[in-house]
Amino acid sequence: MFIKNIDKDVLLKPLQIVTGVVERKQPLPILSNVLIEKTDSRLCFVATDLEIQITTQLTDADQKGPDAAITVAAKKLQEILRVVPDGSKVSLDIQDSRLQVKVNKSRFSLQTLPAQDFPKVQEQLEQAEKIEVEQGQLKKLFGMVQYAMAQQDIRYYLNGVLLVIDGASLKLVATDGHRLAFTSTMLDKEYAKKEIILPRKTVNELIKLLGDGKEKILFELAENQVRMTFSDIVLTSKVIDGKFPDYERVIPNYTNHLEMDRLAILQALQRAAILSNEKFRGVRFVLTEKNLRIISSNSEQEEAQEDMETDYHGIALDIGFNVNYLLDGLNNATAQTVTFSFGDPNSSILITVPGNEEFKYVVMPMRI
Amino acid sequence: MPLALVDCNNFYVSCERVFNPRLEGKPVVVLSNNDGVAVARSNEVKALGIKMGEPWFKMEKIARQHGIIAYSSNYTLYGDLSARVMSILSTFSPKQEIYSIDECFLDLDGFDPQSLMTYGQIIRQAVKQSLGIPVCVGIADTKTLAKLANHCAKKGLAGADGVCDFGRLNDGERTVLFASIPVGEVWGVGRRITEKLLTMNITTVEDLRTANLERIQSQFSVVLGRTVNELNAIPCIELEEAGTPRQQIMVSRSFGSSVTCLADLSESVTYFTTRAAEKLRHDGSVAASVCVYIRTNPFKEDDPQYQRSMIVPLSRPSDDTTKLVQAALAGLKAIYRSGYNYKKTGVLLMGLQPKATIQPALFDDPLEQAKSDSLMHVMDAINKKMGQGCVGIAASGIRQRWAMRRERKSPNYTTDWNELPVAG
Repeated sequence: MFIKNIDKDVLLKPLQIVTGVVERKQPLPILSNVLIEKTDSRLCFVATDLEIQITTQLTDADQKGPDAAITVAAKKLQEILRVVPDGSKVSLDIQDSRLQVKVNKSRFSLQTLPAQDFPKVQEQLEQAEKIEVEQGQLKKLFGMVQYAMAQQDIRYYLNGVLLVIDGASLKLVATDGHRLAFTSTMLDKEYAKKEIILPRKTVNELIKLLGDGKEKILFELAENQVRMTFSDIVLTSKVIDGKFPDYERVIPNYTNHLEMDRLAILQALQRAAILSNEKFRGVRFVLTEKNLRIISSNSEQEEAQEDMETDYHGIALDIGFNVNYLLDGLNNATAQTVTFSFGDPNSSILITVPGNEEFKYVVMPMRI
Repeated sequence: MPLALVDCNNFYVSCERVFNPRLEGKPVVVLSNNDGVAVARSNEVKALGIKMGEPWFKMEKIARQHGIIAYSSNYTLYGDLSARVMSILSTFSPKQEIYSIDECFLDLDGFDPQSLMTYGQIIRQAVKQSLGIPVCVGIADTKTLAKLANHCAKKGLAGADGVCDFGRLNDGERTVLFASIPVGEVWGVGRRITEKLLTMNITTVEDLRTANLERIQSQFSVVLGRTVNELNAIPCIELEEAGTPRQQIMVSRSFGSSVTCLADLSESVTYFTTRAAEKLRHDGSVAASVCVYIRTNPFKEDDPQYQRSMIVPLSRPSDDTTKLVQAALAGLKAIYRSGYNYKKTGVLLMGLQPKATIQPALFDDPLEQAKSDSLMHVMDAINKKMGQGCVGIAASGIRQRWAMRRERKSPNYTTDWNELPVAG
């Protein structure tokens, strides 16, 4: 017997952790599989897409059988365990290169591939820089920038988040060329300068797996690879080999400010967005003394207009934006109030949080 | 809300006849690019039983027997004459939808219903007199019915003289007429739908008009449901003025002779991309990606066959010929395999949007953009003044061995100073 009488949920949890990296369509059949290794009473689960590898383990699985290892279709096994009744006990047995799953009176026989064929990621972590951050804090930081990552852009270096370690500060930057999100935090001590780009998929998996508390995550940053170790999980990922654009150059410094209640302007924009053009998503900001008017219209000449009282005293402005970009920033900047800073109608705007230098969101305008 | 569909008769053939009156009354066909198949037939050719899409090599014998005169397609001429036809037709209604190169809808709302037949005749005479091109006019309450009325006008099914107004039919006459027309003649009912309708015992227009709407919608789609409504004079398809801007631009040609090497393919892809980019700038649009495709000749069954396409996205939407060519050639290089006889390449510009709506980007170099814009502007200006292809990308080649066969093309009577028709 490979694994005997284990609680369904105990087995399901590590599977759910690792299967996030398994792609639906795979060039190599074995990449659809999860590697399950049993050594003494320890159960180890590994899945990879060759770029990212996630490993997690059950340290005390209370299994007394002989050591063994097998690979089996990750999503199928996960699906089976998900739908069997809660509280069920599960047994796995390897017979004639098939995995027999027994739960109550159900039997499932799954194909397997040999464990020694599983392409584990080669670790290349010599001279890696090591830093530690609280998981909850890191999750929050990623949440503040991840939406600005590009998606399948041919500028491949934009399809991820730039991580900068600069002295005692950690900076995260994401941009798709039309908007840029920046956030930073202080680290526990000074580190050597280091910049890496984490791929989009790694960022998404990491956010899913990070806890909310003060438990630490250990980052090991090497030239081509990064390893993250936290709560029984080891996530190893390639980094994007490319030069991230000079983000500091495009973060403007304006003197023309508008302070707004975040939720109030967020809701006004959500309403205006309904009648903005389905394709271009444009909304106009018309700023006058003590008033912000938000206007949108679509291809059917339907219109929405929102007037908001403000404390604005700067120059009158008429400037257009992709409303989705504004909504992204405002949804993820978790503060009571936000500050919009304007240049001229053809320049970017800067969204910040008053009294907080650690979040900056830059959005390019669009002609409407 | 009556509207009219005006459709030119055998348009390409009529265009050839405008400048060559000797062709009147004689059998004339216009062949597709590379002189492949018949794409337009005069009534005399139709009477000989030659089908649309019939390959030229198959009809050459009958052609010799009956003295059929064949022309290579001259889209420059047809495009120019089409613009002239549309411009004349636009004077007959405040609202016009140009539906294709040879047909348009005219809104006749507010016109006296009794005089529409006469009005149709005036339209026909105006086009005939100004341009020498015969048209037919179908008048009805919906676009689908107007299309059908036009079909009836052409076939002389309801009244002669090339004008048909369904408003003049009473219910009984309409039922008889619709019951005599096969359902496949209805706008939007293609071969596949016709076959499926047959299994439901719907064979004539009248069958479809009186079919159960819910059943049609559940068996087919809401689109065919709209067609049924439209046949019952309930308008569902609106008149689209000024046309929605093009969503994509395609330039593709088959070669005069088969091409094997990457160099020749690159030349043709560069040339096609150049032409597509010119159309793009003419529309005031930019493209987000370029699709390039190549294929061998599927009719040469003994040859090894290969075809492939690839979409190459641009880092930002562009109308710059050099950027688009770069992308197209990168795609071509990736899909090219040696050892095949290629017959056709094509370039498709995708993700078009008006240039004015480009979202400016954070890392753009405004200087580079301005340089590109003025270069394209100069190129277009020179080519407009001195003739198409006067300046271009050198990679499109000089000799162009792959150029298509157009052995029977008529002169560009209306668009080239050197080819103006001479009277006398």
